[in-house]
Amino acid sequence: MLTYTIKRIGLAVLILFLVMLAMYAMVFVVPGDPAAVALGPRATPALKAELITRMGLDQPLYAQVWNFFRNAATGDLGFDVWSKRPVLSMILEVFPNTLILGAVALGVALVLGVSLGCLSVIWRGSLIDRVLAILSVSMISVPSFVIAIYGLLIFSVWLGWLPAIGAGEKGDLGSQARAVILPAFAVGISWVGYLARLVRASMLEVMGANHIRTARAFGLPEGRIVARYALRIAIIPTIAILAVGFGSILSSAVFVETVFSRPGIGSLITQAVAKRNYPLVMGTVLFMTAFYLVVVTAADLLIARLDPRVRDVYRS
Amino acid sequence: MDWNTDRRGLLKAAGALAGLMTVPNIAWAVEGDTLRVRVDGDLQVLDPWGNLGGIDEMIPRCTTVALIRFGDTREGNPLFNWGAEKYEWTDDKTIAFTLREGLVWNKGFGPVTADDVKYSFERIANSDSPWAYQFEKLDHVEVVDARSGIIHLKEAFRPFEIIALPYYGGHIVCKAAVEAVGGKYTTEIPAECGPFLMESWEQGQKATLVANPDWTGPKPDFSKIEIYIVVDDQAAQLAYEADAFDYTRLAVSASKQVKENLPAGATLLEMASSRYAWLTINIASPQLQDIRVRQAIQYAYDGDAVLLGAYDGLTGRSAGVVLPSTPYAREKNLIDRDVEKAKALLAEAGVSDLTLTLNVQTDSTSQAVAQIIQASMAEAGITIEIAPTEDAAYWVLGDKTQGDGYKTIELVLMSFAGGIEPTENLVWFRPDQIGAWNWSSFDSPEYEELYQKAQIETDTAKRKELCNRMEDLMEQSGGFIFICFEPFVALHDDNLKPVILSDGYLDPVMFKKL
Repeated sequence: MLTYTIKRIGLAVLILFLVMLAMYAMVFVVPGDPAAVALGPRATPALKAELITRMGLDQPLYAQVWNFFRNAATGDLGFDVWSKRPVLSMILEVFPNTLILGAVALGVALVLGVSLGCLSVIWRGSLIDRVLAILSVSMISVPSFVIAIYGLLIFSVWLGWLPAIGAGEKGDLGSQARAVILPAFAVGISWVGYLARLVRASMLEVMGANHIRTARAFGLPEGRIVARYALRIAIIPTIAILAVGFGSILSSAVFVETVFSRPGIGSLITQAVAKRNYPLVMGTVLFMTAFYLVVVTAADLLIARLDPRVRDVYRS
Repeated sequence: MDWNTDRRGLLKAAGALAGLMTVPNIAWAVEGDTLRVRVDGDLQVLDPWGNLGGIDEMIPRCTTVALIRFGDTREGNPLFNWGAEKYEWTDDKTIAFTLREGLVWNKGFGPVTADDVKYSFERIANSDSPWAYQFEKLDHVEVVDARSGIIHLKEAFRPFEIIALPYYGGHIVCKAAVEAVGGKYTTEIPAECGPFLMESWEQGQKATLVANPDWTGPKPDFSKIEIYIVVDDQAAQLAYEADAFDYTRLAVSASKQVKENLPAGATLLEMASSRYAWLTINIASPQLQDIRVRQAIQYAYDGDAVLLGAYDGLTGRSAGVVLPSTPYAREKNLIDRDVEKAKALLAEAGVSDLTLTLNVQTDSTSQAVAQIIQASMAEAGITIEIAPTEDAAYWVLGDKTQGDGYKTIELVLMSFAGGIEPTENLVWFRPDQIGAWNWSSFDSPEYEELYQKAQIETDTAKRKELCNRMEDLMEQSGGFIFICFEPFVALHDDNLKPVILSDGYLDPVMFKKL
């Protein structure tokens, strides 16, 4: 297990390094002058030059990469070129919003997806099963920003039930809870469909197992068989992909946070990229990549702990 | 498992659903004494030395004072005393002022003094501040006593009070407080003296201002201002309809749809902004060096189609870059659409199969303008290839520090936020701006000479003549097609009278309840 753990962590560090290297390469490949974008027509050449220096873009590429990693290793992700605030504190200020959004979205997806998957199995082959199949595929294929716009239109504009923008008032849990419903729904909806199909497929496999047949022979109700005996086994592959799902949900947050004007790491990245605010772009990408790698690595280690076959593959 | 649906069950479910639908709309936003306005970007630099407009400019308007301020642009941009109780030109080069009594900095920094005014202006003049050009004519500020001073200019320059004093670099900062934080600041204002104090800032979400208890000036109608940061125009429109705020600017393209379905209790505001749009025709570009080719493009351009198709007919054709509501604007263009003449000019120049690249930004209005230009040029046999260009790449197209690309760009759809003072808009087309912001490579010594004269001319009629001639030269060079002053579209509550300044930004302090 130790060898496996070391290998997984080593791989995560390597991925992190390569991602940041790719990010630096992109800074030089993508056209555009951050100083001109940000300062506009009234910028003096001296002011532009100062900004370029502040971003560290006047240094050679290797020096920039080296400085970035050296500083990042000590928790210093640099300073926002405009507000001069530490990038890390800017990220930490908004990250809880994204984390809550991701967690609620995943929770919604899990509850609805697993329920719909179970219902499909209970009514397999029936009209309801077919309707749920269409519904699931529709949910997978509709982009999250479309759901966001329609959700906003229906629940905020027409019905006025939920707030249209923001993350709720500070210190007011009720307000914050209401503010997360629509964005979480928009982000999580495609995973509802995905999980429903996954649960249905793996559960159909389990439903043919001997112990399920025995349960039926004992006359147990179908609902109880599904909930107590089949789901327990069928849910394992679902849990395995949740870590990946969490990453995907965080990516969707970029669109949804923009539509709902919800402060978060997605909207922070969007604005930073638009203004070529490189220290902020680098810092947020590093943070998000690291976070995602921690989640995926932790999930891998957990699976390996639960399933010896996985770590045996690495051992061999 | 059985699934039974009967009539009674269906009625019960429908009843429950109908009950839910009738739950009264919950008002999430704060109402009453709070003004809620929307802006499209987060704050970055609140220091007048380096603020970049938008919310960065709006907040100092509330939290500090300027000697004088502008009123609503729809009322002709009237100037009135604000931080100064006495303000007068004593001659063409000096302005005497006395600060209003009772102006006090918070956080214990004492009264606002003439020395603060001196510090505020002189730290920007001759510095690298983007607003340094506003104070180019400032010689120095003489402190007479604690509240009085005299602004000395290097030469007669009446537009100084329009360009420099009412906003941006004209906001007064507290010398002691700013020096205590190292001479510049960003998101934390070291001391405030205006009618409002900044209470909180939630990054990417909103800034909240509350009434300053020590403010002794005219009492604003609202005791709290919430400035919501919503980047996306469409999301902002929906949020307005959901009663998230009282005022929002809209995308021009939304105007028609909003007019047809105006939300209850809302007023749609449409007016010309000070943002001027034009088509740059790069004289230096190899394919455009023959003036007949450039003129062919000018004659082929269908101005009416652009105004109708891209701007919903909300604005008229512009005849230059000088704001039409000022006494200096040119009445009409020299060249009107004439496709046959365009074809004849191309034939005379011996040019056939002309294909040009048109760089445009990626917003929907720019794209629409570009497509209409493409269609109108096609009628004259000119093929236009539209190149949608993302902001960061777009703004360096004509920048000589990025290489020689500025010599080969062909057509670029451009727009700048303009000012009331004509020289503020004409400055970008001087010869020294080639490779900076004069992307037409328009190089006219006469233009430069006229510009210098217009700077100091005090007679309105003579100044108009100078400005009009400069715009004639621009058009005659074949380097420009003037499109329009872009429309400004906003939605606000019926019971609100917004105050919109010439740059399109708001003065929330002056908003009135009706």
